[in-house]
Amino acid sequence: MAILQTENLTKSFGGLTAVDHINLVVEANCITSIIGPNGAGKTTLFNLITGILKPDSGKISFGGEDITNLPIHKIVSKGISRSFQVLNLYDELSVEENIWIGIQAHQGHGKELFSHVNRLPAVKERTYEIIRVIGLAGKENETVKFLPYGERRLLELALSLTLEPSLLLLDEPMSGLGADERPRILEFIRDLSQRVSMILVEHDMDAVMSISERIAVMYQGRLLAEGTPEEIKQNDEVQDAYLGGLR
Amino acid sequence: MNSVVWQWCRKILGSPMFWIAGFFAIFPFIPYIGEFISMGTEVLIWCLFAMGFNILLGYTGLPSFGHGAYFGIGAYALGITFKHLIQGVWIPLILGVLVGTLFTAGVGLLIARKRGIYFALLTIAFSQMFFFVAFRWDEVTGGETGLSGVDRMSVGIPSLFSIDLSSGLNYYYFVLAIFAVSMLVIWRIVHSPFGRVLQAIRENEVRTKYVGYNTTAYKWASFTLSGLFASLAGCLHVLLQNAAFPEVLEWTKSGDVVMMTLLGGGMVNFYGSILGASIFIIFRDLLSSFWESWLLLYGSVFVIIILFIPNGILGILTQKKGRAVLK
Repeated sequence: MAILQTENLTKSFGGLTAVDHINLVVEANCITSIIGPNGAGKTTLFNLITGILKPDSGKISFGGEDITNLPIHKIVSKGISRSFQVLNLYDELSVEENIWIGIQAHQGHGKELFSHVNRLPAVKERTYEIIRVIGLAGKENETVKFLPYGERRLLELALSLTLEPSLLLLDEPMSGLGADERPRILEFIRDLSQRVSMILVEHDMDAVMSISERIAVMYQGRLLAEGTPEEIKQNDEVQDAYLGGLR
Repeated sequence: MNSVVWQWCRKILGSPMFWIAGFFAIFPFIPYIGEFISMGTEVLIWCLFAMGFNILLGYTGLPSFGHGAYFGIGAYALGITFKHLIQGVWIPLILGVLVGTLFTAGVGLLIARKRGIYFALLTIAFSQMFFFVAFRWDEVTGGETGLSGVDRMSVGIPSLFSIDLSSGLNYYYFVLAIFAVSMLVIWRIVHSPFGRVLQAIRENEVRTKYVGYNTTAYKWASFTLSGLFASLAGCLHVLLQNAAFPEVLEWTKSGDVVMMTLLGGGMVNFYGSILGASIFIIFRDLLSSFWESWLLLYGSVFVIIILFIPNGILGILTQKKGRAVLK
């Protein structure tokens, strides 16, 4: 069953068509990776799906519902969450406060003007649970900007998960990580895929090939090919455009 | 049972709010300085203004350089109600706050989507617009000469008790009561889940959208709340002076409240705006009675603060370096 579908989705910046009539079908309960060289339009596609950019034309539907042109917070409330390629955290706040804001949003507490934040035990409990799951227990009160990069990467993922999304868009979740830190994140994503549908943008081809059920290849704003990892490896067009001898 | 009472006592005694309200309560009886009741009242009014303003500046991170406008609109709304509609204390006061808040809400709708320099510029533009309206619209606002004869009347319950606010001391305590309640309300607001969202917007608006908050609506609410307290302060100011002058709408008033907030450390501590406003008003009154060019010194102090102690006095005292969530 398709969870997300785009129809003729198009976005141009001046003369450059960053996303050019993309028809993408994302199946539920699996990892779909989008690969392609830099500038292929992957992040723009993410920005269109999550509403920070408005498409010039085309349609995006999520779970059968039209979400084109909805504001970000509405799209998020439907169950789409994303992580960012460039870390996008509350750097000055603590680990706990970072996760807290997501949990508080998910549990719907933002409009309460007069209840005290200390009297939300359910939020606190869930916050600590998530911190434990990502292995940052004991670091709740550390200011995020002082954490090692790898742990901030984990936090970036965790903050996207606080909303318990049904579709998670991961924009290069391993970017900037050393070879020794990658398995930790990869394992985490693999675990996660049991529960959440995912769209993954990643340059680490070994990781992509091993983890994805479906792969879509973008090139110059267009969808070049789509299929299983095996099919993509065998595709001549993809080989010429991007993979260059992985076979 | 006893331990519950004991806990409450500890909680109350442990709160700076109790000591601040307590200090102002005994202020009129302190030898020498207690005579300056009018200045004390003005300090309270500005503390109220700065506290409310800090919801916007310190907690939401939105720089408004035009909040004097809502102080002034509240002031004029009370004055006009008093002169043309109905005399009294409560009805003009409530109408003054209501009108001031409605204007803030309206302007907020137009500018809540903006950020940074555009937001700041628009706040200035609107405040200038309101200033010129007050300055030119003689029939309603009294133009340059303003509205005078806004007397303080009595409050109370008929045939039970009545407090004559025309007495400076009575009015001081009236303002203190409003100040204390407002302080409690604002404290609750900034420590609520709503307050957390405001701080999240200050730290990273884009991410806050992506955890599912309609940040524009929250920014608007923050702007409007701060306008509510600004117009409340403005109303109390008119009653203190028995008059509304166009000066209350001037952009310098907007600048003053920014300076108070930064000076005291409103960016890092809830009580910073109160400390800043107190110091600002006291030193202004002291300096201006000794030296005509006192503004020169004030300007220099402001520059020094921005350059060297951006977290203000409480920022230094509490050694909060880079810790953003306000406790």
